[in-house]
Amino acid sequence: MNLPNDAIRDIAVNVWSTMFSADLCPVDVPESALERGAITSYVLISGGWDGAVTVLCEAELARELAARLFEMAPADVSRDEIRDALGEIANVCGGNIKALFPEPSYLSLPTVLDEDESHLAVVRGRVIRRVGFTYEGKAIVVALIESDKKATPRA
Amino acid sequence: MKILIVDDSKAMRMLVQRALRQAGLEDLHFAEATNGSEALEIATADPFDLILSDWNMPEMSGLDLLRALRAAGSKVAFGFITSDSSEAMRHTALRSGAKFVVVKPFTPEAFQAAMGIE
Repeated sequence: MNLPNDAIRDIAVNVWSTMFSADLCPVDVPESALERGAITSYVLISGGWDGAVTVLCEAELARELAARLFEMAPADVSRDEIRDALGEIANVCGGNIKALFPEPSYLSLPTVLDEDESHLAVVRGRVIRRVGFTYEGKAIVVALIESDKKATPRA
Repeated sequence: MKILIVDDSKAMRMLVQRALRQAGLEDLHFAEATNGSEALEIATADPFDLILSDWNMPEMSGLDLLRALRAAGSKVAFGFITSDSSEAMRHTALRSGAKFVVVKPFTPEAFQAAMGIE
């Protein structure tokens, strides 16, 4: 599959710049980071490619991001508002990544897994792309998981 | 200008309002709906100058909302704001009666261009 990490990186950086008026710094994030206690938001893509676009970050960062979007103090942000914010980040990243795949492709509504749900599988498949970033010193990972249903996208 | 913003994300509805203000629109009055069904009810009861809707939402999509409005005879100006954008989708949106499609993530300038604001 011709889907360079650069394309995913550029999309995430643009989303951050536009939604948060802030810089997202690409870095290598070890796989062991964010294994536990992370919040995962994702959208499913089906059609020209089958899989998921996931966004992972620490719960504390998720709260800060939601606070920034809602223009509230982090302590005042509700669990629903955190899920809303993280879901929308995955939705916007996912929609732009979907545009890289053959049409017709379809985008699901976003789903958010809390830190105590992080053991749940987003989709049965394998990680084919994984791009790490830091924002205000905290790690974020955007990953693509290709579903086991189809091994390669249709041309 | 009375604008109905339709998106299942409260964060996104806030971002849209913020961007429209930054785009230089004045005298704005906003109403919000979380899906197409809710929007249809609100828009039927109250006239709006513009409806801005997400494409993909639970219960009723933005496209179904637009089609329902047009079927009911409404000529309200309608624009889509969506991350899920393809040429086919854009073509369907415009053919169904939308004036424009703004792609997420959006800037105030994107709304200026779409709405012809100088």
